[in-house]
Amino acid sequence: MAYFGNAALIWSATSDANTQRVHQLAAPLRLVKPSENLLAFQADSLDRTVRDYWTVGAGAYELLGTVKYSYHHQSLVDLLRAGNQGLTLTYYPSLADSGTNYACKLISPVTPFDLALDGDRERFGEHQVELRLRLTNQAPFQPLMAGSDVLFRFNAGQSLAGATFTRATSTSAPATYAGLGYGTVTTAKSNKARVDWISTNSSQGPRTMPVLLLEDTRTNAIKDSANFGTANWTVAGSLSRSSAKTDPKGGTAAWKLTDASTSALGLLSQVATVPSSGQQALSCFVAASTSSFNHLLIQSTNAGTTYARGSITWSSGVPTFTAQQGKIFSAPPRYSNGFYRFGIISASSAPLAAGAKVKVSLIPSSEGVGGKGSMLVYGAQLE
Amino acid sequence: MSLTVSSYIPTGNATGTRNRDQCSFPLTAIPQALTVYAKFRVGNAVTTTQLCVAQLGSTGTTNPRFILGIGSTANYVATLRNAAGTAVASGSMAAVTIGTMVEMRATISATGIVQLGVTLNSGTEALAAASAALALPQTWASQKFIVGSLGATNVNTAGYAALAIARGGLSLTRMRQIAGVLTRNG
Repeated sequence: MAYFGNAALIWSATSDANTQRVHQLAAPLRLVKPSENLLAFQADSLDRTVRDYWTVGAGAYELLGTVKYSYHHQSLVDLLRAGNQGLTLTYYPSLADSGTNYACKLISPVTPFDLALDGDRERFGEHQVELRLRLTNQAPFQPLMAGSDVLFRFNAGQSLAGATFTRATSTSAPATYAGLGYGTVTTAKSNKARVDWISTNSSQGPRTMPVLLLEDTRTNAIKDSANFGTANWTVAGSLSRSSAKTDPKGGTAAWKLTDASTSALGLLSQVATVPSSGQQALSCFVAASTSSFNHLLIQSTNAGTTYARGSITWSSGVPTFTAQQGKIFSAPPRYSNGFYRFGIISASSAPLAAGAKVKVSLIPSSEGVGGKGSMLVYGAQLE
Repeated sequence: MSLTVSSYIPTGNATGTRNRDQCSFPLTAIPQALTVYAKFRVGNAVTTTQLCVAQLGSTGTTNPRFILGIGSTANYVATLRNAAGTAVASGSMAAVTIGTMVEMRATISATGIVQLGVTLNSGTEALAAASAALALPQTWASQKFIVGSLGATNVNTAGYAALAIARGGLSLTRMRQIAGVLTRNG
């Protein structure tokens, strides 16, 4: 019967009459201290500008833990003797989890040793001894060594050293995430998990909570998604475009689209190939400029059929986004430098076939020949 | 098909593809009475395919395993499957809304009864009906805890704030303490 938990150290000795020896701990190893043991030499240069390091091999990780409240004195002595004989001691933080165990070699105490009276229970004649254990493969101990009822826990931003994570991405189409604060768009390297920042109060931010962002495979069907000055984009009507505007990435890669005429509708468009069948999602970072109304559209290439039409209405720099065609699933989240990311999904009643061509349009004014004004844009995406 | 807007994928003079994120953790705990907790922000609309929020005991569809999912038979569902594929489940029809902060707390009893609790935006936990009993398997298919997918399929686009597993059937308050989310707003 243990005082706390259900931990044990188990070993097998041919010299013993039992099939195996089990030292049931009154409590899991206490005062647990992860440790490492690497033969290393360090030296400063004479002027102290350089510090040199020499190491031998990879060393070994170890664990310091104290056996507390031991009332099976001889059993504990036998355990230490077995360890000093080089036998493998297997530590079970909880016998309820037979799969969670650590095969170790005892590094210390080295014989001859003495059991100390337990600092908390000495008047009851109980003992304690600190063990230095090393896994037989010299690897780090996993988090379950504590012997508590907690089997696993993880908070976004914690180490993924023990985890397996993959997301192969190319430098030409990197994965991105939003940073702390108002969400600077940041790129992540291949196979690096993204710690994304979200706002828990509203889409307006600021972003205060880290989350581990896990997403499915997606293709952005728009070419030159943030370079609106290339031949992949087509100017119509009275639209003009100018580059080098402040962007949500902390740079100056955003563009200003201006419709200066009330006699012709100005828009910027690109014909894109739908990457997969079904509904399509169009998104774009937009910041307020001189126009109070902006529009995002997915249409057939002849503009005869509209699959998604989102209308942005600006008031004091705060947008309202409404779907005139298609569906909006969430309020546009805010990003750095006054940008919001607007996203709209095409209507479920008009699914598109994979490989179909659609026309994506960005319109800086009210949708009609009577409007004019400008909008700031960055990072369009059709997926 | 896209029922959600995913994170931005910059492109040059060609379309660009971002591959899926795959994340799993080692977990050596054997099948027993336990509680699995996941707090995440929903990133996709409900689909006819069950998406994997988190799964204990397998990185794919090999049984036995315990899966917390979205979609299919219920909006949120916790399912225990034994080696033969026999399943017991507890499902909730709480709304799946993009941007919602969801806490799923699923328990397995010592007799294999599954029960799911769902909390939306730190509101009141809604408990789904408990399942029938199913004898616990002796081992899981693998000693893994996978988050957000079944490897290459059933990807649940989401931002995961906290995950925790503990022995016994623990309350939402206790699982929040273990997961360390009580001190955070939202």
